[in-house]
Amino acid sequence: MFSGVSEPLHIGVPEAVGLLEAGKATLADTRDARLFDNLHAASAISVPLAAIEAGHGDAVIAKFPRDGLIILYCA
Amino acid sequence: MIEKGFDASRLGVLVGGIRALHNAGYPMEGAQPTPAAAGAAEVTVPTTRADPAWRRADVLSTLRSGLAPHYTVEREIGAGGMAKVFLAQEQHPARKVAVKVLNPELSTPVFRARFIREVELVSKLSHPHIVPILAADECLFVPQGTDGLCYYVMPYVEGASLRDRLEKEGPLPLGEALRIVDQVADALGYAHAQGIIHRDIKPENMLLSHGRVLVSDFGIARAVSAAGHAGAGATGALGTLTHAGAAIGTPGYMSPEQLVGKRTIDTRTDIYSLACVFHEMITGQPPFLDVALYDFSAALRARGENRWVVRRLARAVSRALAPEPASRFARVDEFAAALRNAARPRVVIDRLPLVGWRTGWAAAAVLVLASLGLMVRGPALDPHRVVVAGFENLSGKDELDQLGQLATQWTTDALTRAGAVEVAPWAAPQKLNPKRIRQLASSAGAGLVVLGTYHADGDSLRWSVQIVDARRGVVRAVTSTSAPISATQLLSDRIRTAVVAAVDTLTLRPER
Repeated sequence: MFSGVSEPLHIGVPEAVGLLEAGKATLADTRDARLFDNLHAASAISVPLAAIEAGHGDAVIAKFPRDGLIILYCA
Repeated sequence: MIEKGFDASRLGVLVGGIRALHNAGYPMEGAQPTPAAAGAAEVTVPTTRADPAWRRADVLSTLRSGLAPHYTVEREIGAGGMAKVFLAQEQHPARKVAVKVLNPELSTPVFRARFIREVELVSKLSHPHIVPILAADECLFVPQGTDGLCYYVMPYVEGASLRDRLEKEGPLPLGEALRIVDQVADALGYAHAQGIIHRDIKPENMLLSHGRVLVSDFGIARAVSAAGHAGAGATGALGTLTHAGAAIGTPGYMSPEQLVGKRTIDTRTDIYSLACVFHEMITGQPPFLDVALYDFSAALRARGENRWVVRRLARAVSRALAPEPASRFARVDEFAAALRNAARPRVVIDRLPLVGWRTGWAAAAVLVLASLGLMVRGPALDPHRVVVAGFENLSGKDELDQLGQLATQWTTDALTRAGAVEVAPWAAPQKLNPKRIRQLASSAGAGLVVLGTYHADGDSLRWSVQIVDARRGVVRAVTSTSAPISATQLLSDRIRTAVVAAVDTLTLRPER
């Protein structure tokens, strides 16, 4: 999915919530847009896996903040 | 691919996904509101575990003294979101009863008066699958707390709740789940006919006793809600319950209209909740995050259920879970019947001999389906009346099933608006086979039946539509269109235009 990334960091919920509350991370929802529109974690940005796989990586990066951890989640 | 200019070490993957976040209480947003996201309908039903009101009131000893000598209260046997349940012995007649006591914080004079009035209304229900309410009152003094307790008395039902069984056994066999839905639907249908909505259908309120299912707490949510409205302005738990429309119910089973605190709730909210329970019986959890019913279909397939059965069941559940009440089944017995029919093994002609879109009109006009039994005999069918049978998903992608249902609605709506023909009400999505089409035409009195299929063609979906003359059993028109899978609006426009044009042509050009 991500070129050059062999094994992304796995983060548990408590740690993720701590990082989010400290403003050190951003949630990114990788499910498709319909599921995102229906329900998603508060303040998460939509990064559908299909868009990444379709080669729209630059557009995806543009959604990310400049700093901090990006915590991806799926279903 | 995420390419240049991005530091990949900034990426992390959340273990457990959105479900883990949700279970941890992380706030959610979106079209399907959670209690927190709904804002106007904050569901803060007081819990009995940590609520100081319960600690202040020595409920058991108060009950014992207050209900004597008519009832001898033995012990607490359960605690729910806003109430505790006690086992008691009634003196006359001698029988065991369950006494349910509401949170003392709810107990204000206005609340109690309204509560008892609502419960009295509900107590008139008499049905083999409904736990009756024997009595309701508010005569108890609570030391150092509010000045009374609201309680109601029900027969003690030996057995376990559906919640207990699900926790013990996990998902249930399909047949058992259908049996439970059937009985609950029977109870709900009866209550709905009396103008009473349950509003809190969930596994905890379904008691399994000697092979029977009994629905408890009928109308209690309504009673609490109504009493809460009457007591608006009060503080504490009551104040919370009355807040902005008082969404009373249980998150996970509440319909969208309940979640957002609408006051115009109707019987279809119970249909939604019952579908949630059915989903949980099949998968082990309500469909809160399974809006596309992936888990539901996967669970059934994993059990080896026939794929058509799975599809039909998913369609029925999907319709019952429609966000808009108008898109759900109108009556709860229709939902139960749809599930029964979906699960019933049947011999069907697997696929209609659909005319390929390239074949064109000429070939379509001569395709005779009479040999497949499509010819309708019997009552006269109106050539100016149309029924839309549905669109079969041939894409091989279950997640596109809902598009077929949408297309059926679009088509029906478009034909209605065009006004050139009379349109029979949209029928429940079902497997398209000659027998079904014949039945549909006959029951709708429709001389024309619109049906079709759709299949994937690269990134697009190609839709083939046939218009069948039900009286003669022939396909009178074939049309097709396509649109990118993601372009729903474009797809809607094209299908509507194609179908309306074809039907229009047919009705203006009567058969020779």
